[in-house]
Amino acid sequence: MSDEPRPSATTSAASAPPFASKVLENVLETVLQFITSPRDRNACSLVCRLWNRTESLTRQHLSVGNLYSVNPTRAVTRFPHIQSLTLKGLPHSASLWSVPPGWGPGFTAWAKALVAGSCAGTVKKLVLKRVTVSNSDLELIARRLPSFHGLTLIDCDGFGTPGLGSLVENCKQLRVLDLIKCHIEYDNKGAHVDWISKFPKNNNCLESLSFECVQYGVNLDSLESLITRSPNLYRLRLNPAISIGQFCRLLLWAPQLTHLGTGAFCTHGNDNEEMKVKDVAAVFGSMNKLISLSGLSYIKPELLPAILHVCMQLTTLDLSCTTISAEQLKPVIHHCHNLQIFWVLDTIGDEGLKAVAATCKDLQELRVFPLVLSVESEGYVSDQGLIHISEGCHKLRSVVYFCQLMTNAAVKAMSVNCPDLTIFRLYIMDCHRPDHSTGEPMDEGFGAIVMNCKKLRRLAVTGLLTDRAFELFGKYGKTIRTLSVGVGGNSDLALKYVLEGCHNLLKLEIRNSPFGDGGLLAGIGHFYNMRFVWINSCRITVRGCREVARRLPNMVVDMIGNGFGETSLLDDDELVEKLYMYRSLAGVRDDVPQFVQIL
Amino acid sequence: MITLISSDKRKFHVLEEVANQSLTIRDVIEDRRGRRRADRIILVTNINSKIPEKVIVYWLRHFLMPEEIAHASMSHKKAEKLKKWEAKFFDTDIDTLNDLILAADSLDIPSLFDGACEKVSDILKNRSAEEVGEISKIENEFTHEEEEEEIPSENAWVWRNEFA
Repeated sequence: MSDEPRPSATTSAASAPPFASKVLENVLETVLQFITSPRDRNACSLVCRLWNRTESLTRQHLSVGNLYSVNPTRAVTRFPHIQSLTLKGLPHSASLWSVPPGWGPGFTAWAKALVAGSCAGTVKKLVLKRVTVSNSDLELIARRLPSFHGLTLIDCDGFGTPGLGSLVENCKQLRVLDLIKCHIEYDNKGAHVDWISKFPKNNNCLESLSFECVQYGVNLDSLESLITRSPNLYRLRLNPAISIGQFCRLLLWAPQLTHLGTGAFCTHGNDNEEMKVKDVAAVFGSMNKLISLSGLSYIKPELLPAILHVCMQLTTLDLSCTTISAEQLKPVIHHCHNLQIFWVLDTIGDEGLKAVAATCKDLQELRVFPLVLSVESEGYVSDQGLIHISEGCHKLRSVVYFCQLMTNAAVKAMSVNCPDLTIFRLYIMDCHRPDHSTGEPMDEGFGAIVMNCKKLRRLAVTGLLTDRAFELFGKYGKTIRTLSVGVGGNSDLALKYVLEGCHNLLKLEIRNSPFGDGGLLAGIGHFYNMRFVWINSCRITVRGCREVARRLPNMVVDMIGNGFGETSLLDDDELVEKLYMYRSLAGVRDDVPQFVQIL
Repeated sequence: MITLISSDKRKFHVLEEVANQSLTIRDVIEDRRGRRRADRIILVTNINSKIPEKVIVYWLRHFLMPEEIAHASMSHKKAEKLKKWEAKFFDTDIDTLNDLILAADSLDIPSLFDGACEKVSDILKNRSAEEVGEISKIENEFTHEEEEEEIPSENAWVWRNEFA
């Protein structure tokens, strides 16, 4: 018999569980390590002090839906060991319907907090969406975050090639640099930096590089060298400055890619590099892991057969950067049986959509963008296209559709045939148009969507709408989190229905609607449950905004308009051109531009 | 063969190679190698008899392929089978899981420790703070000091994941 009991007891199993006791803190840490959803972690943080502290210390991923809603220093103090941070800035509509340049939201305060906090050593990844990022912000994070290796910027602006240059140069082990739909600024002297050449020669861990939105040509030799020394590269999205000949040369080195953006699918008028279909096809033929294809800008239709090799394997096809007709699309789409995500311009017409519906039975997401976004444009797709799609693609979860001619019957068919829709964004470009066959408002169609699609999260409505539609949204739209309204309703009642009925509404975006202070004030009891409200060109006055600010002290009421900026001068009756209201624990932001008045 | 004795004095005989999955036991055996037979008896005082049974069952299942697990070279089918078996093994009440965690911690069996902790985390998911506190038998000693008042509103306003 051993002389001492080994292993010895540490605590008694009969009392509190081990993860609750201070003796075995490692148990709590391990349990929390398996809890990743912010909701669950938030619950754990409220259990007791020990749990709160342990949860804070072990939170690895932080996602902030509005970067103005909290003080960045507070964020990194509470969560000192985060490895990745996602920040969102402007509301979607605000970027779509243009806020004045310089409005913000700036990343600078967050960048400074990140490098000053103890998370400076742990932060590896940043994802920023609709945020203004300066060149010096990029340099700061590259120089002062030693573990940093992944940056994704979506719809961001404020930076140019000098910032990219210092990022890739200073961040020695960069793995991910994805620039998606960003607006790249010219630097002061109008020159730009050859940023691709600044990747260190010993960086061989690049996994993803996307620069479709960087308009400048890049140094091809440096890019080729970078690709050849990056065996882990799985995503590469080139910009349209790269011609098809250059593309073929580069891609010979990267048959392992799973995600590819081709850049231009033409020769840029350089006769010396006349490409034959079989040469391009050979490049694609070697890419047997490819599942996502985008780009194909300025496509030369005779080169299209070159991609037929890979169509069978594709789950994502994004043709939204290229003009293509139904005739050109058909032979390609017939091979795309496995497509789940398809983005395209409306030039494919209703006929093109019919072909999609006939082949792509697994389609989950469809976006049809307009070639010309204009009130006058008749558009190339109509209610017929939507009907085809709804009849062929029952698995659809997400639809974005720009058109001019629409009917209630088509929208209703969509709701019946695709009940799993979580996102439905229908943009009738001339927002005042009724059902073009009956002349009725679009109320019944959109009403059917909220009634039949039980998982609907996001709804964007346009076209002629009366208060009736909003009544239906309030009554049935219990799962809606984001509602965008482009022209709608007859009165404040519409707004009241939505604010009082849609309990889960987080984000509300409205423009050109007849809503005034009465409608706004109907939301007083609900605004603290929402992330933001964005109202553009309605009938809200300064008086209404002042009332909201007075009654809800944690609501930041950001009014944007000419002549705004000096409080005392504003008349109560003045109309507020753009209104952005959001709840915030940080108070008023410190980067308020001239044309903004915050209450 | 070594003998484990639980807190309620029950004896469990188990092959040394099997029990070696406990790093604590392996060290003890190593320390006492060459000594009397009695030294091959190990008291585990913090564990009642229900738990050694479970631990030994766990050891036996894992004993067959410890190398493979370590090298992650297990065939897909085998791995799936083991996963299924573990899901069933850990499908038990929270008190048993707590005892398993204690046993795994003191006997130093990392995979058992992680597996039981993961199962506990599953039980805590999709619950309110109050429910988590109840399951964990924790008194919430939060006062209403200023800093602590910030936390719930921060959770709701800033860190909430709307798509959860």
